[in-house]
Amino acid sequence: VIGTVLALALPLAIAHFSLGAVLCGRTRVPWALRLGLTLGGALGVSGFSFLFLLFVHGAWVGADTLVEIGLLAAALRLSRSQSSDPTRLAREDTHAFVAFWLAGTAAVALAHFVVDARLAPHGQWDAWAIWNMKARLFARDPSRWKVIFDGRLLYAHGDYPLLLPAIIGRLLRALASESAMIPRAVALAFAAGTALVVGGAVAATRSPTLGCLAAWFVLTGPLPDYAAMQYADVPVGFFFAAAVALLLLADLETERRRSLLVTAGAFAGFALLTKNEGTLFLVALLATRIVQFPRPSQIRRLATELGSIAAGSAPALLLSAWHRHLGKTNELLSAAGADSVAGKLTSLQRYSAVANAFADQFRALDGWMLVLLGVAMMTGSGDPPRRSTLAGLAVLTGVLVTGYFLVFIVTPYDLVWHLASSSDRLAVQLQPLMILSLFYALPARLGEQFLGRNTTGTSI
Amino acid sequence: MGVLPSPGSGVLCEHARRMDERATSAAPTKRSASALKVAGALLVVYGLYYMNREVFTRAFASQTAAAPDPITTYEDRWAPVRAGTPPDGSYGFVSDAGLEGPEVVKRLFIAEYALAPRLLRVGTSEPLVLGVFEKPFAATLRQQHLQIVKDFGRGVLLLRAAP
Repeated sequence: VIGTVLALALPLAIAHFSLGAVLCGRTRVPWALRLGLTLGGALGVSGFSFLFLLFVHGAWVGADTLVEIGLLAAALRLSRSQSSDPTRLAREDTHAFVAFWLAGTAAVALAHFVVDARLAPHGQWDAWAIWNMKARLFARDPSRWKVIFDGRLLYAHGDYPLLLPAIIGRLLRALASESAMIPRAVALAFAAGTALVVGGAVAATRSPTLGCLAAWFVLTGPLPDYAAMQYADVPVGFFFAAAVALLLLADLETERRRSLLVTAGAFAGFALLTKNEGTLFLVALLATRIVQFPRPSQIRRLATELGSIAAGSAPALLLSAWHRHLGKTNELLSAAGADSVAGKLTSLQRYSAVANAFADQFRALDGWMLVLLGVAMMTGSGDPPRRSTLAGLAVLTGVLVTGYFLVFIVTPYDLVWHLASSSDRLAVQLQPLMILSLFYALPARLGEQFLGRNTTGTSI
Repeated sequence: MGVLPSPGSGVLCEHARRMDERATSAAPTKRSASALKVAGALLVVYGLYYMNREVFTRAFASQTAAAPDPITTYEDRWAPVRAGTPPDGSYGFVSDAGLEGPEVVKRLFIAEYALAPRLLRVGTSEPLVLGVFEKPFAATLRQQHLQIVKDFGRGVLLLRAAP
């Protein structure tokens, strides 16, 4: 019982205290953002420590708890040394109607998730055949976890990052249960965390009313569907959005900027350990800094910023390199020969097929994003620091979309099958951070201009 | 008092008549306003239903689903194998879905999910073979030269090559 309680409580306490020490700057952080980051951060820490112990010892049961006690001590020390910024901005209220409308939408999205999860309790194909299968393997016999690299374990994809199976596997082990409710609860936590982080970050950087609207867009998108499928695209989408949220907060701070960037790097590291797309995301995140500090005179500042993000993601990078050393290299890269890649890169038909598939995704999921983009462009981008942050966000999204595009161009798999089976999921990964970026581009008072002032004291 | 008509005067009668007329003409207006409110509320309820009709359809489907999903069903069938075989084993895999095609792949992956970390390979190349059958299996076993080591029930068998 003590082991179970520790396995659940320690990661939460680590995330709570370390985030508490980071999120005490001038920008008042809404409870939604704090809760979302704590929830996802705790799951990330839990999976990371379990994975680390698997890699180091194979099956040193209980040692992950010892590692977490050490991390908690460090988080407590950090937390005690920090205090809230005395110039902290006042809290704003949310428009009551928007808050109630969001609450209703959240209830419907939850019902949507519950109903879908009831029809497929083990999730869809990739969930049970890849992620949850490995989670069970880790939980049942951690000493044999390297079986995932054995070619006889078909469809195991030994090159896939292992954070999600480690998160679920650790919970299965701690609760001594193989109930399908456990991976479902993890999926729900990530989905809820995504809405909280996007809504909370927009509330902190723009206005609480716009924050509610942003969360509403997240909840009415494909998130509940894909969370019920238990695909890893929802957790990776959460980590993307969390890292971007921390980046936006960092751009508003001066004193706590570095610690926010380190934390953004840590969340990008969790993304890197969740899906291979996370590697591209880390590159894109670093590119945002280059856009913000492009001049030679800013080279020291740029180095500090890049160093902070790299420091946060370093533990994940090390673990990822270790994984590559132990197991196979990336299937997509190893299967694509140089000749074949050159041929594919010069095939216009492939570009056309991928562009059409991407356009379909955009039309199906995100047509309304054009409206927001249009409004943002009409209303202008604000002061120079905000313009520079927006340019960074545009580069981040551009690098990600271009990277995904090129992966499809050079894929060693049948292009039609690959596009049909995964282009929708890439859209799920990107949608939360695109919503966050688009709402950040809107004028802060836009919600109040349309809806009038708030009449109640609701806040998020 | 000067502005009010005195009792019994013709003016009072006229005033009362006008009040009555106003009352009778106001009644339908009030009723139609209430009807409009009810219709509006019904429209809101229907609009909310319409926006989320997929959830309701799926909720109904989940309530009326005749059987549990295939993963749960197959997993239950493999449970005795997990209890009755060592976890570090490597096994062949046969079924009445043949050796190729999406159905055998699905059955194999569900078996991997249920039995991890045991390793499974389609065919009979391993000394011990796990079999899962929906139909009578005697002919298939004869054809593949296999004999039963243990029958776990519900068409799930541990097999080995017949001498």
